[in-house]
Amino acid sequence: MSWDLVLAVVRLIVAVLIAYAIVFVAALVNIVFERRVLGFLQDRLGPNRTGWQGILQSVADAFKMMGKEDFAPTAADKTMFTLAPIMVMIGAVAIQVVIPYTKGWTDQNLNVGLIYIVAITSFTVLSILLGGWASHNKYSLVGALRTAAQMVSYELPMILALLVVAMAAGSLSLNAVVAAQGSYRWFVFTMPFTFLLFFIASVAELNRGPFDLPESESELVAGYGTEYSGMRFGMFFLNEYAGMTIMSMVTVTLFLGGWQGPFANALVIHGVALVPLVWFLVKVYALVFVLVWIRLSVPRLQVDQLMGFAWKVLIPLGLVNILATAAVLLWAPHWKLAMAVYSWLALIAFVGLFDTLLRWRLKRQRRRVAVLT
Amino acid sequence: MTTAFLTNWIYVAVFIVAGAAMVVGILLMSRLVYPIHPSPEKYSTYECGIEPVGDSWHPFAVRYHIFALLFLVFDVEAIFLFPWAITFRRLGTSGFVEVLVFIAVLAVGLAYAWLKGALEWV
Repeated sequence: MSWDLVLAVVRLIVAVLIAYAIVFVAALVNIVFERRVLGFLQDRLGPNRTGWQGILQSVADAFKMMGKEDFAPTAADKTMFTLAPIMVMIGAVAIQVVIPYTKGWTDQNLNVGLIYIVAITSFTVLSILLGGWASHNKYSLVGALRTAAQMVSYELPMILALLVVAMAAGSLSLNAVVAAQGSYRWFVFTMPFTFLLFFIASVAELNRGPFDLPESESELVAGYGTEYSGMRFGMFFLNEYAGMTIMSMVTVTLFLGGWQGPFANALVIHGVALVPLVWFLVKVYALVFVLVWIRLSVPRLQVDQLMGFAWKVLIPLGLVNILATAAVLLWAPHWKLAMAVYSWLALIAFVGLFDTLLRWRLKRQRRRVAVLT
Repeated sequence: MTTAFLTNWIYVAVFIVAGAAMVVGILLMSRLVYPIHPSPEKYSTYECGIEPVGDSWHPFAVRYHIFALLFLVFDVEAIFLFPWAITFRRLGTSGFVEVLVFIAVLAVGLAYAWLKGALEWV
């Protein structure tokens, strides 16, 4: 009995250490990865001096940041100012309780996994609001409120996409979601439209790519982080870059079949399969590459476009998508095939019509302006 | 069943504390290393290099409040929809119609906000 208890405690400690390691390694790797990939895509070198091909660049940056003076302005609310960076990492660490890294290793297979993901990621919004308000600086406050409005708005399409995943998998537990995607019926193939909604929302949740308004330096200096310095700023930065990997982990688990791939049972040690871990990481980093690629290719949106896109496009489409998927699953004779057909048609219609609709709207606006002037 | 439930949420509690503890550890570690050179200019609030004008904690644009209200409505809706999403096969047509009505009511609310211009960011 007591031996079991010791084992359970050891397992808990190992799980926490794995979560720490993933956050640190992911953040440090992603910074170098992003800079090198941006360099490659823009036909220049990127950092390549520290260590072999510059892989130690972000380690060096991290140590440099540790030695920077970390102060709070006199006007700031000191307690809240320190509390905000402390809270910001909670989401990144605690979300890993439910992530199935590989066959045979999930820290805890919560039966409410999908809701847990939504709930725990909101720690980031809270800490950003707290930090921006506590700074007692106008740029910080505007940046924080803007970030909160953006993250809250894009949380809804994300939840609506998660609902469709829950319907198709028949469960909220992430292991069940992975199991429902067996034999290469990954949800990205069977419901690409839902994947697109989820992916757009998750890029916005990460404050990245075309949705990086919170740190639009041309308008807001540094947004919610204006008054932060040293390691307290480093924590926000760390969370942002670790978030790329962690959000990709969630996306891979929900839509890209999680750890599944060929030779899943080739190398199993104490019930933990090693080959699926490789597939998982390959898929995660393929997605991180896509995130960097999007950031490079798409220009930043305006605030009104950003909010309008969430409320007028993604949320109505998400609601319709839920009802349509439910109808297909309930009444179509071959529901698996029917779902895939419906979703691909919806995707093609969305991608095909979106540009036309935007052009039509622009033309109408121009006409209205012409009438006014 | 009860033990599994307990272990589940012990993990969650430990991970939440661990997430905060990690940052506290790093901040304390960097506290040992970094220099402290105070000066009044450094500790003043940043505002493009001029003296800060007025207070930053003033009443803020009301449209954030409208979006917060709308978010609350749809977030609560999602909580109602999750149980249905799991059991909708068993509930069948009647469950589908009920959810249809439920979503229609909220969609009318969204359409109303849209027509009233609450979704415009001016």
